[in-house]
Amino acid sequence: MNPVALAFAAFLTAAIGTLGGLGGAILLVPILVLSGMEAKFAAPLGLVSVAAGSLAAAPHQLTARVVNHRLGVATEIVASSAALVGALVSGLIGQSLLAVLLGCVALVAAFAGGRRKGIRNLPDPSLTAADVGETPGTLAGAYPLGDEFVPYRAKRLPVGLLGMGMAGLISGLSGVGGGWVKTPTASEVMHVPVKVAAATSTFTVGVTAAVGLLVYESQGRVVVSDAALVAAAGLVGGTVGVRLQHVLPPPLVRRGLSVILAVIGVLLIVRR
Amino acid sequence: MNDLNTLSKILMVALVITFACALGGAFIPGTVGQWSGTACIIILIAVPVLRVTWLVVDWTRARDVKFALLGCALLVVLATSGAIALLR
Repeated sequence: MNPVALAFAAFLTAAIGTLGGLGGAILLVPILVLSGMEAKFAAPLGLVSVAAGSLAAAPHQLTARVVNHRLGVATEIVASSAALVGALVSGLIGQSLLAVLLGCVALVAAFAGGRRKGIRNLPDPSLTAADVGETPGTLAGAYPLGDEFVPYRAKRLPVGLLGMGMAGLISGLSGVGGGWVKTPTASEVMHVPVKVAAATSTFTVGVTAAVGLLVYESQGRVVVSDAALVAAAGLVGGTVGVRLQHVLPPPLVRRGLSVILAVIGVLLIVRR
Repeated sequence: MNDLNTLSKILMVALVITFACALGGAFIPGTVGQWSGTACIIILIAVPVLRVTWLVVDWTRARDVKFALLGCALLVVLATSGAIALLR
């Protein structure tokens, strides 16, 4: 792939990945492979894009107080442990079966997000800007929505952790980030507002990508010039994505996320 | 204690440095470009781990013991994952 096309693909996938909390690798890696790049070199570039998008989004998301770090850390322990298990047993499952499973998961997540209408968590007039952020000691908090403030609390934790574990397992098995499972799990299973779910997922996929990148770097699979180009484009894309996430209404973000997940699901099943 | 504003500023500095290193790695030929690109990747790896470490310290100071311990557990899981993957 020529450098301009590589930079454009990295920009676009990082922007979409950050907007929806998907991570972007699930989009970038198939594009790179379809363009003729070997998968063993495409996967590290996917993780560079994820890490760049996560870093680009972080300052804005921290200032806006939309990331729930407590939720992210609590769920990432399960996800990372499952990712390790997935990576260790990845040779036991056929790639074709894995692609179909991933495609089905993406389609179910797309359906779950797409069929819901309106906003589940409604603004509370009694809340002020001082209430925005995480509630210490809990998996609850409040986030700004326009001029109002919306309280939320993560629900169905055991089922949610199961979903996060599945996201980690899929991530370890397939070598792509699990953000595209984490965000729908947090939003549709745990009833966390989609913007908070996406921002929290953007934080956690950065953590997962760091470990993966360390491994790829040690294996000599990171082509530095390509990685640097992807990182630069990913940082710009991530910055654009997080700005869009801030201004777009939650139902639009959720429906857009559903469409992207449906496309991912179909691509995975067709390309198996 | 909630020190996320400071963390946000630090991450903004990291973002600018990473972007500069990435541009150097992408467009400067030779050894300088190689080093610049490698520095970019190292920062991308280090920042999330430092962020979790920062959170652990912040929560410990705020006496949010449960989540501070969860943060420590996550760091252990990440270290173990990295070590196992590197040794395989």
